[in-house]
Amino acid sequence: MKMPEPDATVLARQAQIAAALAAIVPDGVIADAAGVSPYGSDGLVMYRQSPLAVVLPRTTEQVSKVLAWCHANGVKVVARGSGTSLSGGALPLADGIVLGMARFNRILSVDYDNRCAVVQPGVTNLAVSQAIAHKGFYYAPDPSSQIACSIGGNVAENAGGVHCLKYGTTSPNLLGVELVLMDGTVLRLGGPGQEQAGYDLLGLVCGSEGLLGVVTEATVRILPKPATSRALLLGFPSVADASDCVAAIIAAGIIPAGLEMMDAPAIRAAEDFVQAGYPTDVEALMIAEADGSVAEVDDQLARITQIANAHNCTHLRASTDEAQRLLFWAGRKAAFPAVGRIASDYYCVDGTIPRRQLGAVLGKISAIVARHGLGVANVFHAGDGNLHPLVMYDASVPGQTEAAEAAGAEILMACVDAGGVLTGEHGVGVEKRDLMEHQFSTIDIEVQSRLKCAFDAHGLLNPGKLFPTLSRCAEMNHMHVHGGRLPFPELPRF
Amino acid sequence: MAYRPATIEELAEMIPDAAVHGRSLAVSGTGSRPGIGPGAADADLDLTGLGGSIDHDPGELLLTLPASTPLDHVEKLLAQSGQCLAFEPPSPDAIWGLGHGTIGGAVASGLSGPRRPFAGACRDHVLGLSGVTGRGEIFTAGGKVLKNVTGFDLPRLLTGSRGTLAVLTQITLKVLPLAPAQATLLLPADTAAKAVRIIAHALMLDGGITGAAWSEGEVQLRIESSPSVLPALVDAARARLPASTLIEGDASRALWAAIASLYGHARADDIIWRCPLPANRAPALAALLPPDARLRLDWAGALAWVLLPAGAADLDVHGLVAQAAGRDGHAERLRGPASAIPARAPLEPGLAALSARVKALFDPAGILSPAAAPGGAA
Repeated sequence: MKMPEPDATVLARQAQIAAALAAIVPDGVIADAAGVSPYGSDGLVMYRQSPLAVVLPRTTEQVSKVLAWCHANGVKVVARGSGTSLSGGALPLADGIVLGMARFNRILSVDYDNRCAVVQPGVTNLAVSQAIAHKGFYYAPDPSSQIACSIGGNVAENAGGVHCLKYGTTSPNLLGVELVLMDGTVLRLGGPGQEQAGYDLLGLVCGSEGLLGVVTEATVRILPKPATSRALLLGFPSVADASDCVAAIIAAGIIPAGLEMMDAPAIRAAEDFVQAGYPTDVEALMIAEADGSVAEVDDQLARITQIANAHNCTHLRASTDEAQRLLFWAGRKAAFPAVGRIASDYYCVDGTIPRRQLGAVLGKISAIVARHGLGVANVFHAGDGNLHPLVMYDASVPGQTEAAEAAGAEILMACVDAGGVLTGEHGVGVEKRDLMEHQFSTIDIEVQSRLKCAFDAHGLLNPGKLFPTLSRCAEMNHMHVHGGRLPFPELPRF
Repeated sequence: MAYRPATIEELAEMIPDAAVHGRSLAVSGTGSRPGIGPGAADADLDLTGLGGSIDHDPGELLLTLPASTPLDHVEKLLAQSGQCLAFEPPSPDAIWGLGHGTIGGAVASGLSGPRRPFAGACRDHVLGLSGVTGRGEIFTAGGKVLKNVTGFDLPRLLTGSRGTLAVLTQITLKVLPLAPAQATLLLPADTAAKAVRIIAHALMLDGGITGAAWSEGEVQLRIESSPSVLPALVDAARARLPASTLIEGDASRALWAAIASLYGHARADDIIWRCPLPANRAPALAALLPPDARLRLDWAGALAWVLLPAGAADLDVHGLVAQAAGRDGHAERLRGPASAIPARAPLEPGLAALSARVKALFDPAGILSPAAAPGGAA
């Protein structure tokens, strides 16, 4: 993975930069090698790079001053929440600082009348739900890392979870942000209302992977907890049967709260790890969850049962209480660490495909992984077509890390070739950056990436992520229409 | 003069041609939303000639179609498969009387109907799109899958951008099952304050509520579900709410079509203001309105429609919304005579500057519907 060449003059000014930033955040600058080392990596552990320094601000004013100083002095900035990104979104740059948002850890207000909460970006996803549970409310997006991942990181990545089909990813659940631009400008986008005036800049910022600004406050939508949630555990003799069953459920007009699938290796790993009571003699396992009133839940589960039986379902259990429902989920939510127990290392891939392509794409994944001499277990957000193949490898065997990366890239290209996309919820980051051209044309990427010029004209916020190259903003005020010719063919790749 | 492209390639040549000649373009489909349309420009860019095929894939919950597809055609097509656009795009017909417009117009205007608080806004259902920028570039953004975070979210940015950033040619939408049964409870509420209280209480019920509005002294509460479940949901709601009248089936559907689009609400010469604001600020707005103004609430109280008699063209509704909701609300006049009060209030300066920079990146010559650009023309 090639990152932008570090600027030697910036590296040489390290002590001076740390001192200037310490004047803005007196108790919040780490600049020694041992101190910055824990920030060297995020959830994509294949990559590691120590930053120039780590700055831990407490207030929006400090964030604004730090960014303004870095803007004026040409220092790059990588914002970081809890560092759980699976795509390298928070991977530091050698010549840039990490702006750690962990001290922004307060829930500022909860407005039950308007169903929203104003939280600081360092608050964890689960902490939002926990803080409002006593009033019967919760925050719907639930990424698997929800005990650790931060709301700021969720906004940056437009994080998903297992209930997206019905409740959406972060973006539909985000009502407003306070955003600091690279030049220090503090803006408010959206708020407690249901619509903002002007362009949907909030929608643009959500999922922009830390390239457009730093979120210092988020207003999120909260919902009353459904009266009932119940889950079905369904086993099938083949992935094809399970996949047809998913299609039939959707075709019947049912939108379950959750619709998850696992293949045989994932089922066995999860069952060995948490003893969730999964059948180990099936080739595909589905968890279908319904929530809402008792009448709606009973009706939905009865219809799903009927459909499953018509699709060769060989194992069917309905949760009878909350403990059992959570046990059904425990295996699925622990699928990653479960695979971590049977393989020395695993690499979680994240692509989305049209659901009907599932069988064909799983076949391709098996072939790709086998060709690289590796193993794979698959978990799948079946309702919305989001695949998570877990490629198993051993980093201590020379060549296997590279083989896992290569297999991951081929899997993602297979997703795109099947009519899908490179990432359903983990983001592009550094991981999929160089695959963007497999999904988008040069012009498509240019139309997106040049937006950075409106927010960060010097390209100092998280460069090297998301886009293979960045536009030269100074030239952006002119028309560049030359019969479809590349806008900047001479520009080098990172 | 008018440009009327027959193909996307023609469109991609016409835009730079207009730019070279310094000619601004009024980007429009059938012109059904004049109040929020392109405004004055040197030439019309008429998109009704840009056809294409429609791909509805009910099993994948996807619909891809040309921007010029008539909105009523989309709804009929989806209904045949028991599906719908869950954001319930309001028809512009009752407000402007110029037909139902196109899906491109619905997405470019970005307006959402009564299901917005329950199923998401228009911007949450636009998964992908293709179009041509003000630089004449043909581009695609987003994707044709339900869950996608690849790249910047241009579908959301372009939804509601009113033809000022790019000309939309093709749109991919998430479509959802249409609940086969519905009923509406009508609950008396003579003030906005009472209405907002009743609605807040009703929303704590857990039972298929997909609409909560208020007009003419009555809260309307829609419940949707399957036919076998609906009676239980209705009974449960009625048991926990004040006494109500029940409307079912097609009568309920007609009522919500009227609420979404103001059919039967706005009189022929009413001035119409649309004001999104936090639901609990709606009573404050109600208290500030003059006696001859009529107020309707939708979105569980978070959308106020203010209907004014023709003589009240100089009422500063922006100021009233600001007084009621501070920075958390805003107002736009959709219909009414020219007045000293602008249809939209200026954005806060930082936001206006950023919006103008975004506009300039898509459209450096400032030729796409410049009068409609929210940050002002670049």
